Amino acid sequence: MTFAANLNYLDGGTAAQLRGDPITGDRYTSTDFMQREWDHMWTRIWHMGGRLAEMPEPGDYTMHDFRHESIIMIRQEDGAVRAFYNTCRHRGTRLAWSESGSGNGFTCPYHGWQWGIDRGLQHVQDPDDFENGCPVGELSLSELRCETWGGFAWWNMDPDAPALLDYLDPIPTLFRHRGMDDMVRVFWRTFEIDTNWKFACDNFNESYHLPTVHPQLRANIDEDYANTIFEMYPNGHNRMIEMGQPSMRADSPNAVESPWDMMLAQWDLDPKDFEGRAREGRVAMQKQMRKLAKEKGYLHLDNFTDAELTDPHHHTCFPNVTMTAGHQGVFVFRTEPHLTDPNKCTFDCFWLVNKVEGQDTIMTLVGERPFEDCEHEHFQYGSGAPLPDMEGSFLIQDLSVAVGQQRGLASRGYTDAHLTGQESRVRRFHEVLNDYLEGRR
Amino acid sequence: MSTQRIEIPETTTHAAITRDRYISRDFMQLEADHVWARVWNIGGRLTEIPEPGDYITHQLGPDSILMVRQEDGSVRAFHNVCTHRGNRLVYTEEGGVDKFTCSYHGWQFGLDGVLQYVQDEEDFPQGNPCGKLNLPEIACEVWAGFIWYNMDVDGESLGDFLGEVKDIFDRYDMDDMVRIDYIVCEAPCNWKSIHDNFCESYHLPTTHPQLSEYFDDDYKNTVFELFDTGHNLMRMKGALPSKRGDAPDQVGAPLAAEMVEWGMNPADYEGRAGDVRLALQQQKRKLGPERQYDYFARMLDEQLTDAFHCNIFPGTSITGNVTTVGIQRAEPHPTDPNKCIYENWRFMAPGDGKARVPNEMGEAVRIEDAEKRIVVFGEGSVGFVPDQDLRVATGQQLGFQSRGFQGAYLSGQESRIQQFHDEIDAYIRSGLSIQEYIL
Repeated sequence: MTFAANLNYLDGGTAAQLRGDPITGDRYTSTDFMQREWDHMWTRIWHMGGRLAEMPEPGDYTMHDFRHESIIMIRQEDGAVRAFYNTCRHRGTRLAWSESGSGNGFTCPYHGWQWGIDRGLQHVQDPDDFENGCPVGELSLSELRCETWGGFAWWNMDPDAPALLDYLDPIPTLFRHRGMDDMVRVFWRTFEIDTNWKFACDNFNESYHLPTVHPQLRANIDEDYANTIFEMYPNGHNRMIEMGQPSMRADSPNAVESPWDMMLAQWDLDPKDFEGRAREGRVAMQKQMRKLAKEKGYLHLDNFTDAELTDPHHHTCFPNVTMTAGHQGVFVFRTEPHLTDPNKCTFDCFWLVNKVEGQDTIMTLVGERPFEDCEHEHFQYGSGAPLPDMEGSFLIQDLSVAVGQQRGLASRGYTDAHLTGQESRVRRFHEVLNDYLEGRR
Repeated sequence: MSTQRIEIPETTTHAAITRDRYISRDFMQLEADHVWARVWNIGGRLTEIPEPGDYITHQLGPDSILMVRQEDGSVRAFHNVCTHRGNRLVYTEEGGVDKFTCSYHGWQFGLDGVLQYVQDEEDFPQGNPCGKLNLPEIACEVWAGFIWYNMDVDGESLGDFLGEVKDIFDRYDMDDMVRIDYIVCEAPCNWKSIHDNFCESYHLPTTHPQLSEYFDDDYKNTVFELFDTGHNLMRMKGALPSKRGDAPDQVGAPLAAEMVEWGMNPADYEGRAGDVRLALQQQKRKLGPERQYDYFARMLDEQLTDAFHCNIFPGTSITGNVTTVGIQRAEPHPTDPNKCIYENWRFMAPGDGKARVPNEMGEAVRIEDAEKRIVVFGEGSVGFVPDQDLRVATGQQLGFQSRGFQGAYLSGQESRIQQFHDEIDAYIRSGLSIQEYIL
């Protein structure tokens, strides 16, 4: 990690960097705490919104509901994307009702006021009937901050917030090799789930749970904390880099097990050659990927470091976005609070991938999918409705733990977490959140 | 917690029974912290966990409690939560294990709650937690065949908590009774709506008119006792038709059936049903030993015919009817004050084993442990009489939403309701003072 040496970061593997703020149960269950998060944090941070590729032409828009707010992100004539509150200035009626669309702007369903894509008011009924003069050309939809990075439009309700790239720093630097703008979203599922939104921040800020919750990953991910890099950045974002190789915790770490054998074979390495020395496959794969990437259609790997070729690079962006990057693309998780209930949230999962020349489809969590932006699918986790295509997947494993943790956190027997050093990012997340709530950020 | 909106007056002797007590989340939180976490609660039946490592769990509002049979035969209770990051430890209502393993990071706790194993024990800057970060233990005692727990480890003993109720029910065959009904239902009302109902018999003529064939529901003939413990007793004469009934001097069907069961001829008492009660007491005294109801020897004469109904603060009612004991309880929903968990358990003394009870189909079957039956409110029955009670309680919950409701206006015979609410306020007031109004 030579470039990491130039980054300003705290060692994420030791609690010495932390204040030790307690992680109490009310943070997950109290409506008062939920309100404080809204007042001091959600209204001040950058939210990952719509994909720019979903709105290529002027007038194309995406809509993002977040608790009681609804945000319209819309492409302008000059190619820029702007964000407006989704509320008619006349009497407050919601304007847009679909997640994405296109047109010349918005007509309010209540009294027919028409708003342009540049947010200006273009038409009202009975323009002569306004005591203070006709509002056309005077009133505009309320605007909020909107900036772009990573192929996404991001929005922020705070006019005084730092610029997006400053807020995200150093995430854009860490992703500079990966061609995020060109990726397509081949998988997008949203789960409503009975747990507080912070489950994801906690869970994705530690890998200590892998042996218990995801035992299958030990065949190709070395989750030993001694071999793992943990970093915590000043803005509240974190990174973890695990080595992409069989774990010593595996039943036979030196044997080539599934899916390690398929991963080797994918790069024309014979799994038999690595029997008894399976972990050496990692470096061999890096060399082979350098050699064969072009020929196999992986045109985006040119600038990748060796580690980026094989090792899962896992980033948590404060507060609610997780990005796990590999050589195919980036898994993005985004968790958002429920409208009113701290015991519920929505969990979004999407997989963004780079196209591979010569391939029409890519194998996803739910089977082969074409290299194109997919439909957005909605699910209610825990409703009893089966998800046969995701049974046994790491995602469902994480969700199953989250529901149980929410129930345990409500117990008066729970007072604070007792963390390992490798889980320091969990407390770091809560300390950054407290910084927002208590006026230090 | 913003609990300031709820006013618990310092000086008044009686609580105003207002609608906010039934619909407010703030009041629900006060109850959770200062009432439910400081009283003895029934966790389950001792016979459910016969062997070391057998366990049961009980969800009470937001809290889940784990009760485990130990190697030495005793039972201990713990908060059902992993001390690492707060994951719920056990998800099933019952089971048998040799240790408890957390599903998140694999921490292992012994039957005694001691943390035995953690992954990467050298990676804790504050030291290896094994043997230190044990499951939080709470008070646990056994009485009447039930496992009781109290989250307040500094509270009084179970015996002191129960007071007179223990003396009354020690006369029944509590240890050996068999649970023949085990019904659970999430009801759309606050838990107190149901318990208020158990605290008065004023509703019987309107809500349960059929009971007048067997019980004398006149309050002037009924004994009401309010104990200092916060619990109370109602003794209602049974085997004695109410004067409110259509034919108070006639032996109705339920009474006639009981007389036949005890070898008496209903025709002998035609037109003088009022004489049956004392005669039936004598008959049961006579036949009790040969039917192996040994505990009759320690029962009062009145207990052989009358309903002995106690409300155990805060949410449990227990009713003795000679050979059967009914437990009904209402517990708060984990998050919603407009809902509760209602349970109806009926127990029967086994006697000589010849007694039969009707099943759901009306067939007479042997006395044996019932499976737990979860009833979806409105779709199934929780029992004939309780159905009538829940219908009223859920309608009352709708009324509590109305800002037109100014507070309860109680009859004298409903004074147990006032005692119940006063006791809640007393717990909250003392709890708040313990915490020096930090809330």
